[in-house]
Amino acid sequence: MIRKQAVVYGKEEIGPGIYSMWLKCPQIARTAKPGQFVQIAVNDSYEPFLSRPLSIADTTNNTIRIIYRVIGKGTEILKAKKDGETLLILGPLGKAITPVKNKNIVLCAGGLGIAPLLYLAKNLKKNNNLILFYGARNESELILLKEFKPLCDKIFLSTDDGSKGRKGFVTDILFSAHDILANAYCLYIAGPSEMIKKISNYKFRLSHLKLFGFLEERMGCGCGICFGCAVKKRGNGYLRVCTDGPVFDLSKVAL
Amino acid sequence: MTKIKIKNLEFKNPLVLASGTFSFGDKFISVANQMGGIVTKGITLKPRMGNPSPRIYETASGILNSVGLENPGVDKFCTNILPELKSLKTNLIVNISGNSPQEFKALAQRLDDTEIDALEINISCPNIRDCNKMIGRDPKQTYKVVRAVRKQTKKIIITKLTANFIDPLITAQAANDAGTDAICLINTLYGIALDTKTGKPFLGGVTGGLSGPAIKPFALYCVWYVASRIKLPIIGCGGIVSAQDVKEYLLAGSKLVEIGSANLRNPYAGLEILKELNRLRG
Repeated sequence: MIRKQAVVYGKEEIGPGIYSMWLKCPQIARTAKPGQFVQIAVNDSYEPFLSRPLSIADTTNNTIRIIYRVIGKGTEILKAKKDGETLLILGPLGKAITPVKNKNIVLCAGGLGIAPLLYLAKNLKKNNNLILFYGARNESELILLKEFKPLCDKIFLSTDDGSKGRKGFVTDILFSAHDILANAYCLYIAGPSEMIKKISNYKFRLSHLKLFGFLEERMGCGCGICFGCAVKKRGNGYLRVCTDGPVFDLSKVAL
Repeated sequence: MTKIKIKNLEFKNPLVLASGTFSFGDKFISVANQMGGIVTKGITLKPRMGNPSPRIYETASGILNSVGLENPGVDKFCTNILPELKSLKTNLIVNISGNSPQEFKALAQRLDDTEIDALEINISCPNIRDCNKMIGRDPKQTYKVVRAVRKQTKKIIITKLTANFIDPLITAQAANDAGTDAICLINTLYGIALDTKTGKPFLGGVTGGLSGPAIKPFALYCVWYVASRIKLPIIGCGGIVSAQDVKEYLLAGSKLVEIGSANLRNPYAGLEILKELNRLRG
């Protein structure tokens, strides 16, 4: 883990109010693994005070990619950043996902949950078969599809308004894909907490199927020193999203 | 940089990392080692799970937290965590928290034969079940708790006071009479955030403690006000994010300062403030 100035470049709006941005920071890029995130101090002032935790959506040798929706003070400032400007980033943070081989792996994304799954898919593609279930509000918010096409054997889409794919939630198409899930080794889920909770509590009747969720929580430090981002364990006590996750085996947490 | 002493305990510089913002001293050890001291997360007699999430709410130039003293309890702290801290090259101050003089006494007793450098008596955390019963709001209770700890230990005692609905000069006096070696001013301020969509409190613990630059002028005022009226070493705490802030606290009468929320924004904040402080002092 290191805290460094990263140079911004290649910012583009890839959906309505959704931005993709590359950050040049070789030390972080070279050690980052799928499942991990960075903390971004959006400016030098203390307003906003905390850094912003953002998933790593992709890396090259020298750069990491982040994808965000403009929803508040922090992301407004990120949106205004121009190529060549710098941001202080801390990372890579969180636990890396353990790679697997020769498996059928299902990815399930809701909304911006697609971002960390891109980096994961790129890493898993070589040795595994991938199937993607992906839902968003409407067609224009289904981002990164071109990048997922060469990575996945099959892609199933849904939109809330039916503008592309099946009308409804991604959970609807996922829960009806029993045959695919029956042959899958595991399911990686990223998206709104309600969606992850719904999938976590669903009776798949497939005892072999492992469920892994990319959890989000209001975060303080992002590096395990403030105990701010708690997720309830099954049984007693809490785990920390920042250092015990952010990707959790859902059989270990109570959502 | 000149060394600072509280009784016989030397601090290599005035910067101490505040309780609840730097784990138990077991993380970022290279940062902790450069500091004058590190205060552990609050330790209680029995393990505490802490509050449900969300535990953090960002405010204007600050944070509300309702972490709620999550810790493994003093026994596990002594057996599992303390041995890992043996290599720390800075003062290790253990923050202890309880509901009664008896609990504080037991905590002090358990920690007295360990190699820790000092105890910080936490009678001011707002994240307890009934925050109106905060010991630090009652000078008599404050006296009893500090007295109970004083009788148990020869270690340096710092009493962390609150400025919530009490004149801290009164409780500082009580802590002084009971034999504290220093006081820390101030702990977080009461705060609440309400979710306008649901109409409910935002934090899992309902209320929280406000910290960060938002509270600095008030915390600094408390230090200045108490320092000019009582002869007792003061550790200033509240919203320190720069060397300039440290200098202000020292001018107001602090002997040492605690850096808290700044660590959440940047775990290397202590180091950066130290470098800047050394530069300012030439």
